[in-house]
Amino acid sequence: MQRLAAGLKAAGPHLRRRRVGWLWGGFCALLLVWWFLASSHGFLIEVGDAVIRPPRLAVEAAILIGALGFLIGRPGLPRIVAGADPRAFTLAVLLVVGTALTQFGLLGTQHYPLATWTMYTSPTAQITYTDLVMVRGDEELGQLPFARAVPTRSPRALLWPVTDVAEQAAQGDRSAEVRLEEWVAVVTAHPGVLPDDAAQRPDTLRIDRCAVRDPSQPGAVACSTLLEVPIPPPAPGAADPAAAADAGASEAGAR
Amino acid sequence: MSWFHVDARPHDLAVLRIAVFGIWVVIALGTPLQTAADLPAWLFTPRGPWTVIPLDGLVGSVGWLWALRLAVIVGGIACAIGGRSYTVLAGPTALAVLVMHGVMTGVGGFVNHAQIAVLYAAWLLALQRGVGAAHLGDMATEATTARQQPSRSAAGAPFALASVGLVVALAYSLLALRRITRGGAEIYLDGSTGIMTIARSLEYAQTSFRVGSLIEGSTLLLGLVAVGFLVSTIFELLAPLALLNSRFRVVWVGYMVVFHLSTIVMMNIAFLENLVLIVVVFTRVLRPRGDRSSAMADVGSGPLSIASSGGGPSS
Repeated sequence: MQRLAAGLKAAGPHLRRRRVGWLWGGFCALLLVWWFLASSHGFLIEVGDAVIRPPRLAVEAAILIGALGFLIGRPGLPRIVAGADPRAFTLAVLLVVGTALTQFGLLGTQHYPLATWTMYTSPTAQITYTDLVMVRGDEELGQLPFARAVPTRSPRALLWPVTDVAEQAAQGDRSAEVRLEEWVAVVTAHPGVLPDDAAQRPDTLRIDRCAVRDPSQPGAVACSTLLEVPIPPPAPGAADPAAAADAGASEAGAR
Repeated sequence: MSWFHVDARPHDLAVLRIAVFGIWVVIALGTPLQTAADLPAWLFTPRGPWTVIPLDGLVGSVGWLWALRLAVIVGGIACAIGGRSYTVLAGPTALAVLVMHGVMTGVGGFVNHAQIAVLYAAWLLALQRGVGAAHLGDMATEATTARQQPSRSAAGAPFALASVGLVVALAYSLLALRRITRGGAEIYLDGSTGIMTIARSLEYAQTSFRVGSLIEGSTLLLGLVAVGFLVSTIFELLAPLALLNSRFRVVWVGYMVVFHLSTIVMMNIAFLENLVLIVVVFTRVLRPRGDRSSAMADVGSGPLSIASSGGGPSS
């Protein structure tokens, strides 16, 4: 690590040349502003019918290479690297280089390397989301708090496969209907998801699809019911919620 | 402009170690991992390395899932405490954290970048020497121990802090780059930001704030959200600069804290892990009071007490 630190120290003054920095920074800023404006329908830079803009790979590569060169050339890095454990240093390099390369690998997509969300990277005329509403008779009891029964920090992600199955079930696919009922049984049997008091317990889970459109107009949100799934009653003889959860899980035949 | 972490101390490293492993202990305590065994198999879609390494046997067993959860809790607490056991426990704990993360992201099949930076941080700390020996209040530097052999904690603290800081900064910067080159100006002009805010505020999440839905029909509020989104993207893009420039770091930390709090209230999107890492890695508010003052001279007496990026020898 000492040898690497010495190399970085020697390279530093070259990477810190003001003129190079300003030229590269200015070039990147120009590319970025050009892309920012040209990628919008409102600001197309056109010559005839052709939209003139630099390749996205060139824009992202120029900025990333410039930023990494800038960081590597700053004072202090040799001393930081000198104290690094070779294993930790290797991992850090793999992470930085790996994420940068993955960024290029995902160039044609809305994604970036550190998440599988789209991260609000594209113009969106409409967002559709799924709502799981607990119902007792005609009364709505709110959204099903299913996050208490699933081991995820992203409950929204779980709604996507559930929605896929619900849509298949709504089109009459019997096996999808069974799968959906199986999931509802498992989740609602989990302690804390439904009220313990039988009088407060919902009897139906309503699956709504809601669309959000032009927010400048009132009534931007419109929901319609996709499907209604009965919520199974508590397992007979299950005095405590934990036992009910076990009974519900085995009843559903999960895994 | 030199690297902020060049004069990081063992105290800073101990705070980072406690924060990173503490976050995973909190996540393990708050995530009912064992319930994965009850879920139908069709809800589980492994991601990343787990598409190659099968998790089926683990995910199907309540006992193994409990064991994994306990391993993260017990190992995480021991690693946060540090000491001699850290050397032995850090690797297995980081491995347990990686597997637990694989199970969590497999449920629903989506990787959430709120946990990615702190996952990488756990691995960086597990592989770096001297992390376990670092303790709170130890403000030794290489300079003060130059005549003797510097402790591993003092020598390794700058790299540990800087590498975690770089990972956090890149997570923001790459996202902003993709948003700018993919979405361009249009997402700020065509109402997309308003649609995103309203949808996220109404959709089920771990919090249930509905403030975001109040912007519906208000040109002023929709405009404010769009401007805020654009400014946030610029701050995200410039995140690596916060590793170098002390004045920008003050502004950046302040903005990002407000930004993350506002996404909780407006969109039910919580990045608590990143909030903790930002405070721990990009500020020195958790240093003993007396040790913040010298560093303050560079930035003035800002409320965040962010230290100078200087202090290291010019290379």
